[in-house]
Amino acid sequence: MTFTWTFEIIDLVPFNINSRQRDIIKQVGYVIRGTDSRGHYSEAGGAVMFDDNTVIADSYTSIEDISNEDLQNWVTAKIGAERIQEMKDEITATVNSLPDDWVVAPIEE
Amino acid sequence: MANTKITSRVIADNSVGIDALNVTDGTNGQALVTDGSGGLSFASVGVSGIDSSADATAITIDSSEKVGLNKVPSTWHLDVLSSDAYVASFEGSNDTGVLINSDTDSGDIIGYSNSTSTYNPLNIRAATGTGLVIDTSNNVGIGAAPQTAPYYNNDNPVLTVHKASGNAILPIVAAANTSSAILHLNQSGNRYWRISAINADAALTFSGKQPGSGAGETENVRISTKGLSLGDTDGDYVSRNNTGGLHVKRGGILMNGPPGDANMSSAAADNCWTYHGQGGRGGSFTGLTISVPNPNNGASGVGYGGFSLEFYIAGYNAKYHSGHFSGYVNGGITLSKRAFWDSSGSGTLSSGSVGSQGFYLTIGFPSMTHPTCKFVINKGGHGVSGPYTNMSGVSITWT
Repeated sequence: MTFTWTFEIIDLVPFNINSRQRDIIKQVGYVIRGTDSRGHYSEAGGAVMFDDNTVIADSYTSIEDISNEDLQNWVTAKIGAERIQEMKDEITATVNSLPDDWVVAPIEE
Repeated sequence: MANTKITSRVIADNSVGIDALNVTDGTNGQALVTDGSGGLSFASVGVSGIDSSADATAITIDSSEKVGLNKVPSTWHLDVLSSDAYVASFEGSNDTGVLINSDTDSGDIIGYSNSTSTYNPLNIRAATGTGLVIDTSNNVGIGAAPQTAPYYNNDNPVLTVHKASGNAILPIVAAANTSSAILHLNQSGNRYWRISAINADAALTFSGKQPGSGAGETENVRISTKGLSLGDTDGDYVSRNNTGGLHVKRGGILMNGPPGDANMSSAAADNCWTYHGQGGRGGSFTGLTISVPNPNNGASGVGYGGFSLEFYIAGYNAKYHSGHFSGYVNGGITLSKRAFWDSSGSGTLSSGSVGSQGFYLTIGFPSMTHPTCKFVINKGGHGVSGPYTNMSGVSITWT
């Protein structure tokens, strides 16, 4: 089973007047998609919000230097690795139940 | 009188003429009577109340003790034939009136024609006109003969209440303050009972007080071809397609029930529906899960389509959490959009699939006290081979 992780930044704080920092990531949307060998897939996902009032200057990373791996780690730290695994298990169970002739939108209208 | 005895020669002839009797002849129909002193004469005779000149068949009593008035009795023990509109009159001096008494069975009153041996309608009345009519199908009419079409299914109604002019009012009166007035409509199987108006422009109205009772009389419910109006005295409100629909004028709509049970929803063909839910709860919580386990009421490949969910949560100290997410469901989900806003600056949103066509949304937030929640779920879909949506499985769970 192959899993493709997609992370999406959907909310930035342009400038934090208290910390004097720019482009703070305030919210990250994420999607976990599991695709099997038939090409059948399902998704789970959500979003997490970060408190921009508690930004620590010493650990601040410029937005240009943030990688997808960083975002994955942030999300995992926020919602917990156990929760991530639960969502993957749900995806696995759903994809395994799909019939061979399953397509996302069977009828194009 | 010269002789007081009839000679034996005359009697032997077995024929006594008027001359032999030596009495003055009477008129046709008169009989020879005695005065009790040895005198005979012709005179009119009869018992008290029966005129001796009445027709010979005015009263007939046969060998079975059956009595006929103006006829020979047939089947009946009292058989009356009248040649005009007046048949029989019973006049009493107390409330008993006419008593129909039977030892072993019901004392039926029936309309029957002796001449044709067929049933006739009955009309029981206390004034000129139509009172209580029972027709030959045993249907009952009050104020008029039992009516037929255009009532439901063109059946013959079993009871018709009709008034020639003015309102037709049918009270059901129970003992004051001690009993209820109950109209019990019973049907078997999967049939239904219906109250309807024949005229398309008419309406059924219901009120907590009787019309004309003064202050407080209000038309609480109106049902017409326009739909259902609650608390409306202004007439019909027209829904989108001029049929069906609901209009509420006063009082609003109170969705009162345990969390998750108080909701409004709509459903249409192709499994398109909208669900309005609310589910506040007392206490402190850090999460809420809204689950729609079977939105299409069918298996994979039935009723697939897009969905969206909006939610609004608020609690003590102005904390709030709101957002939305959307996607497509078909044996699983494909997420297209999710976003949320949280007054704490933190929080989580996670979602996934439930079963063949279900989905869920879990909202995490810092502890929120006495929160309230409102959410709206919209679902579109392709329901060619699937039934309409069953939303009974929608649930919300505070954690």
